Amino acid sequence: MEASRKLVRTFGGMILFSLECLVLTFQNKTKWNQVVEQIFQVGVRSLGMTITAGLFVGAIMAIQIDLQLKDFGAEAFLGGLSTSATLRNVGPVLIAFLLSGKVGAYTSAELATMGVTEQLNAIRLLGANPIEYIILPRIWAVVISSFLLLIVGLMMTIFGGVMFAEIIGVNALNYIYNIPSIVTGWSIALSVVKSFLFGVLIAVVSCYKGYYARGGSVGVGAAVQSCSVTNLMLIILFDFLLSMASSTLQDLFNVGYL
Amino acid sequence: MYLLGVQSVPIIFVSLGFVGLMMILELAFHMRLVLKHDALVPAFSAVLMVRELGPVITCLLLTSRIGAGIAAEIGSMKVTEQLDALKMLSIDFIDYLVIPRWIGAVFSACTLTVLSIAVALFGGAFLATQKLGTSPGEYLNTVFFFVKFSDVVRCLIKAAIFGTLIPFIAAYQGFTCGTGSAAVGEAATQAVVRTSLSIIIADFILTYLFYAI
Amino acid sequence: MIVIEKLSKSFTNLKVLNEISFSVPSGECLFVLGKSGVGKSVLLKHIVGLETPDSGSVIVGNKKVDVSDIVILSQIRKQCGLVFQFPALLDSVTVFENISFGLRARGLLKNSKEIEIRVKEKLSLVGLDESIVEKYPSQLSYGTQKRVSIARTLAVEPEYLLFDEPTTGMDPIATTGLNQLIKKLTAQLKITTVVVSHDIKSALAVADRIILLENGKIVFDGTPEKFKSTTVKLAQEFQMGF
Repeated sequence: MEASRKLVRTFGGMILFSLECLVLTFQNKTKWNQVVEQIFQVGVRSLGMTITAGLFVGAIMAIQIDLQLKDFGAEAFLGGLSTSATLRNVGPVLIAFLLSGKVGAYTSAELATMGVTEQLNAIRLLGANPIEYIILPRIWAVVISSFLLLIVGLMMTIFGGVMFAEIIGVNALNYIYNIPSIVTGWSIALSVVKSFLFGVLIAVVSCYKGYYARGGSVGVGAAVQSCSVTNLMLIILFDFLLSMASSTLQDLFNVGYL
Repeated sequence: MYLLGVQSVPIIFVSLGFVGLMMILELAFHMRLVLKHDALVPAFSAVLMVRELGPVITCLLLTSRIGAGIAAEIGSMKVTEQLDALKMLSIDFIDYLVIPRWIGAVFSACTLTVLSIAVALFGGAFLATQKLGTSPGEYLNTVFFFVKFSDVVRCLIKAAIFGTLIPFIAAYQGFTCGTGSAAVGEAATQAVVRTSLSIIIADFILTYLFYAI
Repeated sequence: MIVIEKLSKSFTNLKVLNEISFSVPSGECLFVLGKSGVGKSVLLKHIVGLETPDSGSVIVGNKKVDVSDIVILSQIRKQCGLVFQFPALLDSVTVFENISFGLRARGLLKNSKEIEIRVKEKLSLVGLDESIVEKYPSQLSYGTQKRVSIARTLAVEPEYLLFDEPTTGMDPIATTGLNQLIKKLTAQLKITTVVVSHDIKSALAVADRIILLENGKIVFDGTPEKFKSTTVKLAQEFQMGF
């Protein structure tokens, strides 16, 4: 009972929080030059990690799909199937997991620190709205840079798959030629939509958790922890919901199949 | 220490349940695309769950919960000079702080991986009956036919190794934490990021060793 | 004029403030003393609406502090300057931007020349050199950060100046300097000052009036001279302590 009340309060709070940010954005209160600056900071910091993660995720999926296809003698489909499975599903989820740590937890730690050292209160007292000055630039920067990083990471998964195929002796060109035969426009659209939504989730959760952190250095640690747990859960939940929606739409209108 | 593992149970179960559902959806799509029928969806999803996603996703979730927790805890102990106090009492804090967490983390990683795969398969069975029209019995039959005992052993080895990575990287980040509340946040963040990345890389290496050679 | 009436506040079953009432006339320098954790900082935060009272009210000037009324609250906050216990400088921007933040946010000064003059004036008021304006807070020592934070508060020229433990973490020389600064500000600018502290030495040197808090109640209220001769046990203990 207590737990469910807490759950409702957190998610209600997050929705109100994102609404407030949206309203302020539409009132044109966003400092876009700060957003650009933040995007560069976040992007440069996380690019190397995203690329590494993308490569390995692609390779892992290629190994697994290869193993399963061998049982049926359908190795010819390796390129298409592993790329499709990675792009639609495993890729966005795993890379978003890492970004929620790198970008999300970092943002929430930064905001939580500003909160517990009373920097946010200082801004309030000096007559400004911290959401406008601190949160808005960060939330948009995180949305945009997470989205871009996810796209980069997904491209790297394709590359990782190709590299691994070459290692295990599947011709890289065959692998690549097979990709368009399975990966449909619909799948790419799905993975782009997922990437964008995960970017929004990471931004809202980490800003919310950081902004409302209380209680010294322990509070900062707790904010980081709770931010990454919430992020991971929501990413998995929304991944399922989007896949569900996509499959329902495809069945209804019979689109997206070859 | 394994209290931490127990607290993570509901979160991990709910998440892996959804992963199980999702696997069925996605594989059904791909199977229809390539093989034009979906009888093998349960088998494929179960194999992929046990070999790959089960341990990886469970341990990534554990990382954000236990890993960030350990780094933040040890980090704040350092900031508030509790570590120095332990040193003064000549207590070896590897023994005192890290070893119990290590045992706890390995134990929770293994048990939670097994349990969460079970939950995911359960979720998969549910969706398979709904969407594909296989009966739960058929589903279980194919699962047991395709998932071999060696897969389960390898899955446990993976979980144990990931479970080892979590407390050690997190504790290291905690011990090397700077001063002030900003540093504690930094330590927790670094712990999550580095552990997650190490888990993915370790997973690649292990999968390669187990299956590709 | 700040009037506090029957103010109560509890945190998880602990009654921190229990029906506290007092008022601070304009131009007075009031020290609120008490042991650590007695709710002094909480009291200050009620004045600027960073905490919501369980019951009772706070009136600043002629307006009642009401957290739900954003317009009134921002008017009150414009009149008040609060110096936090820790410097609370924004660490992503320079000293100059920190000090001028309030001026820009409130639109007090538009002209960048005027802003520059104001920043330099306030820096010299707290005894700092102009050369640090381009530095970031993390490059400064704790004492300097604290002075910058005071300069930031003074930059918007508040009518009411509130200090939360101003001398914590400062060396004795800096403490004396700060005490003289507070004295100067109240004497010259006729600012109303409320200082929350456990530094009895500063209180006796600077205050017009001292209030002593214990267990959520006021146990002493009077001039420093009276404080020295009072029979209240805690006040005597405080004086023995130094």
